[in-house]
Amino acid sequence: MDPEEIEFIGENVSTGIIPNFNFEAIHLISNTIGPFKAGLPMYVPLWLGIHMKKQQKCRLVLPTWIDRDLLEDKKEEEKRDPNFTKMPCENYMVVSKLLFTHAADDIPNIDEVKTLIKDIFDIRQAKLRSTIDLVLIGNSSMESDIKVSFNNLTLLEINTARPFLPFANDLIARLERVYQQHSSNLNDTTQSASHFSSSTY
Amino acid sequence: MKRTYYPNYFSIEDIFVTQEKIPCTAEQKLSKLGFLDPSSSDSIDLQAGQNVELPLWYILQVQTDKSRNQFYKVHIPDIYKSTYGEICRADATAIDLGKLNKYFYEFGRYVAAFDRNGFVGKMIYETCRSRMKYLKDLCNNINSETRNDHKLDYIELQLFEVGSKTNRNLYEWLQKNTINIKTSEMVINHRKRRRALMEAENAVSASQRSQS
Repeated sequence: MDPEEIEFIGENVSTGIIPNFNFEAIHLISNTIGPFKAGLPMYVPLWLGIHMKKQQKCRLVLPTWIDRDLLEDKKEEEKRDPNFTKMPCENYMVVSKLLFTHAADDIPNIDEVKTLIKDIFDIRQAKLRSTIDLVLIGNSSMESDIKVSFNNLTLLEINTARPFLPFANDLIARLERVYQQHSSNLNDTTQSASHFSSSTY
Repeated sequence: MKRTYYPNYFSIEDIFVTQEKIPCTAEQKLSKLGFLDPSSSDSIDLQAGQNVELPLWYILQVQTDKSRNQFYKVHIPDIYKSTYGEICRADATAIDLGKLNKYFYEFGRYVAAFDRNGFVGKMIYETCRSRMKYLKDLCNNINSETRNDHKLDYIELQLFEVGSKTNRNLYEWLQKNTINIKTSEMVINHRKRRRALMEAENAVSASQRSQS
């Protein structure tokens, strides 16, 4: 999956806006949006909010997690926890990127928030990389009891490991089967041979 | 590479792999098979104990018992012998798999069936295991200048391409502000318009026939 497709999926998240115009409801296949009343807060999909923001028809209400203090706590939590922590938004990278690009003037402390998001993403990426290393080389001694957790990863993050990780694992698993098959053949033959020799004695 | 490689009857890679020659010795006199040994094309029969190099697909067909083959004794190719095994164990990333055999893993998979010590299976498995992390790091640090000396096996090369593409796409997405969504590669390859094309071709050929 391309990042653009993930962005497309992420854009569907509901976001608050305050329109500055009156308009009747828009009927779309997925749902109905509106009606719009000037000054009255309402929820629309993010893509529509951004579109109207570009035409200066509304003000975006930021998601609560775009906040310096909250993100700082999140970053500390992410640092402390060896596993992945739950993110406040399923597509936090997509949403924050879109908001940074199109609603920069509405975000207080935008530079700090940007850095924090980037830090959190980098911490999670580093964790993901070491987890993948564990999967790829961890049990070279044929012990398959390593335990890794990919919980709470967001779509974009999973897609940085895909499709390489599953494909590589397929190859390893296929060769492992060959190895086990032939080493078990070997055991069978040695066993039968020893059986044979013991019976002749 | 849209899906993981798995050999099947129609996969071109599998056909290429089974074209590889494998050294064999005739176990018994084989009548009228002298042509298999190009160095002694004048003799009609293949004598017992004569060494020939035969393609893998042929050996796979004539052998009836996996471990013991009554017509030919199959030798393990040099690249799966212990000297290379030692190198692989010491540092699997240093070895140039592509130069040894373009389909190192796949060929090894077939060869492992003839190896009664179980050494080949172990060797390719452990080599693969220790090379995958190296390959992943290679994908993560993609630089267009450092492309040529990767020393990869065919499957590894495919993996490298998908892996580096993922990273490149992510990097581009993080850099750019807005990108328009593109038609996915899979949809392009669907060729939904094939029927329309075929109908057009049929119409052309029909008109040509009516003219003649």
